[in-house]
This record gives sequence, structure tokens and C-alpha cells, in this order.
Amino acid sequence: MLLGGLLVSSISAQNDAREHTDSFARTEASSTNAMYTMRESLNYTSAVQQYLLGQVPRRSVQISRALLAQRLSVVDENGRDGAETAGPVYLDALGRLDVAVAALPPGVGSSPAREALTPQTTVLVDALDGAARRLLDARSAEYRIQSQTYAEALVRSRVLELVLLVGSIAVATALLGWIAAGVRRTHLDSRAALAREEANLAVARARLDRMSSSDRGQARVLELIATDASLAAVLTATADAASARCGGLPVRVRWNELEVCRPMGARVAADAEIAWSATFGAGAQDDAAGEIAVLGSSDQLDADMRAGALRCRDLARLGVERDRTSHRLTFQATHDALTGLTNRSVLLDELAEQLLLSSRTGCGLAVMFCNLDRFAVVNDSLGHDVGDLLLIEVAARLREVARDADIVGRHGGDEFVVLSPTFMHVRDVVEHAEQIRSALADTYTIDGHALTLGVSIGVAYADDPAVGRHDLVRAADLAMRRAKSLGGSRVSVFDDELDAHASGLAGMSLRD
Amino acid sequence: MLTFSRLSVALGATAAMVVLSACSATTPTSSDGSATTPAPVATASATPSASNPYGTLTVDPPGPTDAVLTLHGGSAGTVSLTLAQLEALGTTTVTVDEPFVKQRVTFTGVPLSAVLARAGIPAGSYLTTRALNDYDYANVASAFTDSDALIATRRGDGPVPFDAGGPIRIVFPDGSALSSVLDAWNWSIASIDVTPQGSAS
Repeated sequence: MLLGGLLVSSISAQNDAREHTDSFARTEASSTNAMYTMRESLNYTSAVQQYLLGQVPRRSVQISRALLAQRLSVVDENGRDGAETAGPVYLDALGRLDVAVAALPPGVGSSPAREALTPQTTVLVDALDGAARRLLDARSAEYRIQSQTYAEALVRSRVLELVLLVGSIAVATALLGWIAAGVRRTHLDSRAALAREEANLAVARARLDRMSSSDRGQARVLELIATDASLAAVLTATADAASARCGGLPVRVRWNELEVCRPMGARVAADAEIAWSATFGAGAQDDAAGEIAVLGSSDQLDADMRAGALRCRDLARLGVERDRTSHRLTFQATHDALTGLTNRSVLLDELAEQLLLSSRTGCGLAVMFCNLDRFAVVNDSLGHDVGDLLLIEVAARLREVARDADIVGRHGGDEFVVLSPTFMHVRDVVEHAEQIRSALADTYTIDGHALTLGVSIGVAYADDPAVGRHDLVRAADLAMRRAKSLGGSRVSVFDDELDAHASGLAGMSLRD
Repeated sequence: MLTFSRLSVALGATAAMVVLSACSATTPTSSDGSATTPAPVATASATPSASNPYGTLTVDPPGPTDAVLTLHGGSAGTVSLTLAQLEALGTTTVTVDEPFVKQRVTFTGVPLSAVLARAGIPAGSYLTTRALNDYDYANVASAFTDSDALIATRRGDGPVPFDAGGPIRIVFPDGSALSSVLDAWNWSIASIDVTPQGSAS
């Protein structure tokens, strides 16, 4: 009876180990799950950003969200799914962005609608990126758990084997020789089977060790992407991760003229043999301009390494994509969509900065408020499309005539503001304003129409004591209004008279 | 601990039988193991959840003629298939252990071998499967077909939801070689390309 039990338990121990290996291979590790949660999360926020830029329809955002949902439902080796592992802070940030996404207009949406949604949505995107990044901080300790579980399975087998051995010896001394011989043979067989299983586990462990160091590398790349690190840093980390996964072979990552080669100090000849390579572009609409190459001979790579390198290629693509969208979003947030000029909020920031600078250096600062005369007539008679084209042309001429130090912005509608630092005298400011006026007064040819418009320019000079009591832009606006009331197509400088007039109207806003 | 409790059960129940086998000195093979011990997933619910708890958003419908799968590099050139065209290649139904959600799930779909034949892709080709989120997995075509890969177009009676790897995904029957390679289970697969081994586009 004892013998039989020992044998059965030995068989069952082997089966346990084998079963363990099988179920292990078919179960996502919690560290891997966290990493992919982060990746899908970044994909989701990327899609949102691309939507805000009008590059993809709402459907793409929803699909990337659905794929994130799929990842969040993946059960790991601890029996917890991705969402449970991610925790309430992450899910809260995700929920908030989801609410905003649910309110996005379908298709690619209209440009004004998207721009209106950009600021608050961007805040939510950043919050989710931050929460996703923190997923990995908590997980780094778990990277080795995988192999520990293997080790535990092995220890269990070993303990059993010991019990078997002790039992076998006891029985063998008590029973006849032929039984003892049989037991011993059985024992040796089961031991050999265990040894085979142990060898399998050792192979699996070595592979897991390699993967876990590469996982850390990939996690690092994702972290850099989430924190908007420089593209060079992202690509360098990608090359590091790929190199770690490919047993330390040098890896070269190229993006346009940017090129990195890792590990550090790897010297690579231009004609080095390429074991594996893949190209990538930023988004589907771009031609592939990036390449990741593992250098060496192709027989140094196994299927795992290739798969790992492919993962790294995906990371590089994500990094480039994010780099692009964040640049464009910054531009969108700071520039007027129609003319590409600095927008009002940035203009006011610039003004505050320039005022500070001019008070330090003593150089004068002027604000010119330009308003096209009878622009409404163009819009009403020729349509808004022609009006828009005209505004674009006006912006182009303003850029042309502005000095290098000037900052040209669109204040709204047909109002343009030029910040002109470093003028020593109001005389020079007026001269510059006249140049601008005459540049804008030349005939425009828009869509077959010849258009001639005057422009009224109000000038406020920061050093003028009369300006002191007013906001500089408001003073320039008041001066522009006087230029208009005098018949337009002229330059008017804010002065004491206007100050007195404006003070008389105190409490009665002219504009707001 | 589990093993020790199993030991005591075994002692009582199978003593007579195994004393004989102890002397026969044969070592059972793995097929015995899987027959006597339940697979770990069998403890999970046998019915898949109706919807993904973490997928609260809907997905705008595709155009009626939008392709769900595109194959590049076969002798038939670039082949784009709508869901209906794909299913017209002939479907089979399998119930598998879905390794990600740990449930028994029934999928209906088209054997990959039929899809590859339609595109004129021979068994020795190196394939890269690519998903909607650009996730890709590469292996030789025969590795997929030897594992009876299925391009699943339906889960249960309905379509495969996007948040369950839809609209189409690749699945492998229990016990097949790629069934235990998680990377190969590409969700939301969108294209299959023939690529030279050692590179991916």
C-alpha cells in the first residue's frame, strides 16, 4: 500500500510540474499585463490626441479604447485581471477621459469643435498617462515572481522525491530483494522523469530571465513616452531594450537623421551584417522613415528574440507617433488655426514677459493693434471663404513686414496685434506702424477678386506715462478705435487726450 | 499541500492496482496526467461574460464594404476581405480555453489554411499577423496551420466584440502548439503579410 501511494504521488508530482509548466505558458504574467495595460493606455491617449488634431476619426479612438478594455480584462497568474491590477486611481483617470471621449463629435469632427475640446481633453490625457506610468513603478518588484513560481514547483517535487526516497529505503529493507529491486527501478525512473522536467524548467527560467530584463527595458521606454521625454531618449531606451532581448547584440535605431546604436560603446561599421530589421513610420499616413536593426548574423536570433525585437519596433513607432502629436498639439494650443499666427492667450503671455524684460533693459515696448477697415463687407459680399483667404494673406504680409524681434498674433476676427520690443522712441514706432499700414494697404488678389482695404492701427508705447493707467493692449485698442472714427486707414497713438476720454468713460466698458 | 492530500486519497483508493504496476516499472506518460487531473481553467465559469466590464464605450459602425482582413504578398496579390467574404470561405466552430480571460469560449471562424489558400500564400512563407493596434506576431505559415489556427469571426452566436479582440481574431484549439504561445493569439487582427524572415515591414 505504501509503495503504491508513493508511486502515485511521484507520478502526480510529475504531472503537477508539467501541468504547472503548461498553465504557466498559457497565463499572462502580471508584469507583462501591467506593461501592456500601459501600452494600450498610451495607444488610447495617442488616438485621442490624433483625433484632436483631426488626423483620425472618432472610431479609431473607440477601437483603441476597446483594445484597452480587452487588455484590462486579461487575467494574470495571480487570478487578477488588468483592471484590478491597475487599481482605482488609474481607473478613475480612465473613467474621466472616457466621459470626455463619449462627448466627442463623430467622424473627424469639425475643427472649431475639436479645438474647443482640446484644452480640457489634454488635461485628462495627461492625467491618464501619469496614472499609466505609475502602474509600472509598483510592478518592478514582481518581474522575478514568474521564475520564483517555477522554483516553488521544483521545490515541491524535490520534497516529494525525498519522501519517496526515505519511504523506499524503509520499505526496501523490510521487503524481499525482488520487491526492493522493483522499487528502486521505479524510483530511478521517476527520478529521471523529474530530472527531465527540471531541465525543461531550467530552459524556461533562462528564457524568462532574458524576457524579464527586456520587459524592464520596454517598461522604461513606455515610461519615457508617457512623460514626453525627448525622442532621442525614447529611441535610445528602445535600442537598449531590443539589445537586452537579443542577448546583447548591438541594435541600431534610426529615425530620419536621428540615429542611435546600443549598447553604449558598440562600434558598428556602416556595412555591418544585419540579423533582423524592421521599418516603422509615424501613423498610417506617413511613409516609413524609421528602421530598427539588430546587427549580427541571423542565426544568432531565435524566434523569441525576433518577437522581442518586433515589440521594440512597436515601441519605437509609438514613441515617434507621440512625439509628433505632442508637437502638433502644442502648436495647436498656441497658434491660431487659420493663420498660423500666435493666438491671443499666448500673445498676452508674451506681452507680460516682454513688459518685464523692457522694465529691466529699459528698452521700449510698443503694441500695435491692427484692424482691417470694412472687412465685414468682404465677408458679406464674397463669402467667408474669401474672407478667410484674405486673413491668411494679411497674416503673411504681417509676418513679412515685421522685424525679427516682433511678435505677430491674431487677437480674433480681423484684429491683429504686433508686439514690438526694443524701440527707443515713439517716433520709430509710428514709422514702423506706417510701414505695416502701407504693406497691408496694397491690393490683394483673392480667388480672382482684386481687393483693396485700409487698415486702422492703434499704437500704445509702454513708456508713455499716459498709458500707465491702462492695459497696454486696451490702450492700443482705444487708439485703433480713434483711427477708425477719424475715417480709418491711418495710425493713431494713444495719448493724454485719449486717456482723458477713456477715463471719462470709466466704468463703461467700450469693448467688454 | 495539494499533492500530499492527493497522496492519502490515492493510498486508499488505488493501492491494489498500483502495487502491481510498481513492479512493472513503467513510467506513465503525460496523457495519463491530463486525464486524471482537471485542467486549471475548468474551475472558471463555463459561460463567457456577456460583455467586457471594462469596455463601456461603443464603437461607431464600419462602412458596409470595409475590409476586415487584408493579405499581402501571396500569389493572388493584395487580397482584402469583408466579413461576409471571409465567412464565405467556409467556417468551423471550436470551443477553446481562452487563455487571457480564463474561460471556455466558443468561436466560429475560417481556418487560416483556407484564408492562406485564397490569397495564394504557400506553407513555407513567413507570416506577420498585424492587429488594429499595430501589435504583430511573426512565424512561419506552417506553424500556424499545424496548430489549426482559426480566424474567428463569431463568438458564441454574435460577432466578436472589439473589446473581446474583435471584429476578428486568431484562436488556436486546445493542446495545439501555438495554443500555449500567448503572443500568437493576436487580437483584432487586421492584416496578414508575407515577410522575408529576419525582417518585418
